[in-house]
Amino acid sequence: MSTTIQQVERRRRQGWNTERFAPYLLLLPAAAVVLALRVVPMLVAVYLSFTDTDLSQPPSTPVQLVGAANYQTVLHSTDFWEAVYTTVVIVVPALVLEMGIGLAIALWLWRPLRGRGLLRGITLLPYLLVPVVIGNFFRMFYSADFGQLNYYLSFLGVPSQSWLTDPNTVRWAVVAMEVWHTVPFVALLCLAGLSGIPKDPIEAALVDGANAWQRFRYVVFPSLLPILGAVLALRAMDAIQLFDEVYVLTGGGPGRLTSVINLYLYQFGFRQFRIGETSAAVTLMVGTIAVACLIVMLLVRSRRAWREVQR
Amino acid sequence: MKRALVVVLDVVVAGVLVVLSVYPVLWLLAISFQSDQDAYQTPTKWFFVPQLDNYQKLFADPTFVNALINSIQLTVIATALCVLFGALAAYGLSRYKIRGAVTITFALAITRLVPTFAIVIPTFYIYRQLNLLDTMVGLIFALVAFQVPLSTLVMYRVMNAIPQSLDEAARLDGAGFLRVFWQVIMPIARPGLAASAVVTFILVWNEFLLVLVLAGNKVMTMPMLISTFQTDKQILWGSIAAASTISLLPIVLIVALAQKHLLSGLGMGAVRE
Repeated sequence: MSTTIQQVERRRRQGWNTERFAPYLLLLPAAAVVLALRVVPMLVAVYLSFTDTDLSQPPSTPVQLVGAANYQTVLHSTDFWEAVYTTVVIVVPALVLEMGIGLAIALWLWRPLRGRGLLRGITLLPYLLVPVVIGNFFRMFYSADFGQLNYYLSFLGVPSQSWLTDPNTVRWAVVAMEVWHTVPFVALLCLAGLSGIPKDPIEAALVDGANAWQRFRYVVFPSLLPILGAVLALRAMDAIQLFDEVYVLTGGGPGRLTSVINLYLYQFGFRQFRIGETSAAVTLMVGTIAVACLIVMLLVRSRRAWREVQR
Repeated sequence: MKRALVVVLDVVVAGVLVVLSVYPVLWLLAISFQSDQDAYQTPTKWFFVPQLDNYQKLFADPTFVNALINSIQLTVIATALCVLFGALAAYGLSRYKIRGAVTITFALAITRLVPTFAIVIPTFYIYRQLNLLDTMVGLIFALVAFQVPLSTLVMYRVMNAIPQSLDEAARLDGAGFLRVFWQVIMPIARPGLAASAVVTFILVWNEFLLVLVLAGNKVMTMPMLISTFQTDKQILWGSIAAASTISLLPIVLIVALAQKHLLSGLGMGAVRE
């Protein structure tokens, strides 16, 4: 009396039993949630962007289609472009600094060190802390009157400053906080990438008398490049969505100097309740990101093709 | 001589890194146990007689207790659902030939590219129509929808690493697919489940934007509560520090106790760990 897998399969195919639909039943919970709360909302956003929906009115108020009016409003709004500019001047320096420092820390941690595991764990901490707490901490740290930053800088002869109200320093204050927050993530992924690099070429370079910089520049860096690209892409996606820490640290101020795109959208959508325009703005953002991704993918593919041709 | 110099340099770099990484946590911890006069001292008093006033005040405040309970409830339920849904979906994707499986995995990977705001704004509109604003159920499912792609991807790698022969053996004994999943696969996948759970837990616990938009008055969470401290005219560093310390407690515990799971979960397929 032995059952073969064929018999089991045959029994499975007979009649209406759940086994036939197993793969779909397994996927159902996750797919349903993602469909209902990620895919449908995106389509709703596109719909809303063509209407004059006003959230300050009761939900039963009839809405009208207004064509591309919302898009025109957004594209002609100086506030919108100012928010885009603010995001760029905060995100670009932050990305440059965190990639550089993160890679440096990863290279340093890559060598045989005593207590490396422990160090790796401790240095990861800033990335995992509650962002709102980070914002609050830095608000107290930067405080003009009681802040510890002014105290520490006084040893270097730097005069006391009010970092968060001075237009010249406030954006750098945000950049510094962001860099502190995200360097561990870059370092962790770079370190993982470094551990995947074969040791032989590095040792060969060492035998050939290459110094540390040459080994890095000509052996390590090229093989790490794809991972650095992936890390940069991941970080850039998160960085343009900067919100929590800045909301708490400056609330977008002074004036609108640190009002990054997400803060602008939040104030526009949920303080002024103009959800039609806000939807138009996010639809534009998603479109821009999609086009940017497409370009990057095509570039990567054509570079690969180019290499094939050269070979 | 050169060797000694390298060792000294390593110690210095390690010291700087450690101080920079833990300074905020230690500072908040210290301030949370200080009286209001001490809290504003420059330089910070690192040696003092700790006092519990800030914590007593917090736990006497129903808003705080409510936020803490909400946060724990939200995080535990959303994490459990995420890990379960993710494991089920990952098992389906790895074991059956599903039409469009490649497309599904690709779609999961690129959900990260869509800005949170593009989802949150219409979700607010939908929730308003369905009367789901400021409800625990609405918040839980919104958070699950945001985190389930990641946990599915993490679990997909785990499921692929489990040999199919195990499934087949159990199948021969006549077990249905759910029983195989539950009694054979899940116990083996435990380290992967832990990795997925730990990362999801932190992400849900830290979530602010979604809670700010979709909830806020009745369903207040810890990050929400901490963010409201700033709008008060009188900023009380002691209370901020105490609430922050409590909200950082689970994170610090996870980093200290589950570091291995954390690292493999954070690797999230982008790079091999």
